[in-house]
Amino acid sequence: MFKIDVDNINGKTESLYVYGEQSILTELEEHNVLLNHSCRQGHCGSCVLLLLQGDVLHQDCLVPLSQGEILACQSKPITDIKIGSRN
Amino acid sequence: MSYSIFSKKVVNTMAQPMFFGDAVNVARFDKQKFEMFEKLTEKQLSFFWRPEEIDVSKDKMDFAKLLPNEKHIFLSNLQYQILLDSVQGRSPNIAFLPIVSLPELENWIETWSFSETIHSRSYTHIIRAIVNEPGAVFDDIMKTEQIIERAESVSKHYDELIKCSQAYLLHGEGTHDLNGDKTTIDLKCLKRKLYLTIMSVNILEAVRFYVSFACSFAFAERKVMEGNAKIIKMIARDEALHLTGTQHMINLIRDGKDDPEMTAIAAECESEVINMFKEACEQEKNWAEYLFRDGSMIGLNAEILKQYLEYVTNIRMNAIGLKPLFEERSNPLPWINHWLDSDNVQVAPQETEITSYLVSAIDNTLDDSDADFGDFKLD
Repeated sequence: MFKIDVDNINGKTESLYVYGEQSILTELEEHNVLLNHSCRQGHCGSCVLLLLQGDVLHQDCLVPLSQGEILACQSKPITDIKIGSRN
Repeated sequence: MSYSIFSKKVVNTMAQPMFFGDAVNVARFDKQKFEMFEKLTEKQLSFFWRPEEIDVSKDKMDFAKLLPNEKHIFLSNLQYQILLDSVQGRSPNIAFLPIVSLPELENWIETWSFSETIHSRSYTHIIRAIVNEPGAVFDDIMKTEQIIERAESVSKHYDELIKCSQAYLLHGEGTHDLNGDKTTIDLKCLKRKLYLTIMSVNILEAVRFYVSFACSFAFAERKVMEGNAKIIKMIARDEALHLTGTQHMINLIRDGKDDPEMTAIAAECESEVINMFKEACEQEKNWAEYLFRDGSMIGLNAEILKQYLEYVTNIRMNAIGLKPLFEERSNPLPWINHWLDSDNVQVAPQETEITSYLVSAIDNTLDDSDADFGDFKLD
């Protein structure tokens, strides 16, 4: 299992334990950490997060991302990670 | 001014607004003002699919076993989607192409609208497969009051924009006689109509469609009508792209990255836009009542569908920088995400609903089952 440290996303700071089989967006939703999102396909960029520690497997997306940014709908953890809001 | 299909004026497309600038002449994609539209087009092209690729033969047996109230839900749902895609299969082209000013956006609009025609064809594919008399299902669309009522609100912004922009392109600004109506056309009023039309299309694709998606996927969660669900999954994948297109246009306008006059109009129209979301959500809730009038189905009822509508409406409003209308909540239909999520993340090719198979892909690995190659060598 992997640990996802959530650092102040929509007011929540907590640790989640996941198998790494689902997208980070789905994991956050299942743990009731609500996050802006829209297309769930990597097109719109609504669910952008900052990857503060660790590594993720990130799928193709249409949105240009800066260093350290990930789309929650397109990534899943491959190590323990720490994520936070961009703003 | 008069519209020309190929204006001789030399223009710098990098300095044009999205709409109501100079008409596009050369379809060139070597440089783009807004690269996102090019990316959307490429993605849409890579999604190309045909309904005939999907086997819906088991759906006929499943449909025969559905309860009468479930048949009503299933068919009404499809009839409504047929209406929505009939509108979307032609309207972006008719409404937006004559006034677009960027080649990459023109190309996206054509690609977008074409993909909607595939959706329309797929409904015929499904209906032919499951009922003996497909014609009756199509004929009923125009006789169903609940569908026609919503056709009005889906198409009224398009109609208004098309009427006035055609008059503008023929006669320019001024007061014109349009079928006996004295109508004053000025560019600002046209841009306002355009903004509301883009918003109305966003609501159509980002909110209204999702009621139907939820119903189709609810059947497939019970392992019935899975061929239909696989087609609807393809359609949902396309629609996620389309709604990103209109969201992107809206956000470019609202963020002041396009025409400054459009940005001012967007600010002026904010309360009207919020009312459009509210009205669409109410109409879809009434539709949910109509769908479930004869009874619920396992996993879905009118109440949960209404909660889902509020959830989706909030998400879509958030995505274009509007304050959500309803209280923040988690998804009341969490299982739907399994159908809406990108296949890139969840890969299990044996599952019915996976859409990421590669066409014409070759597996070049060799193992024991390929032993009949023997001592074959390439010299």
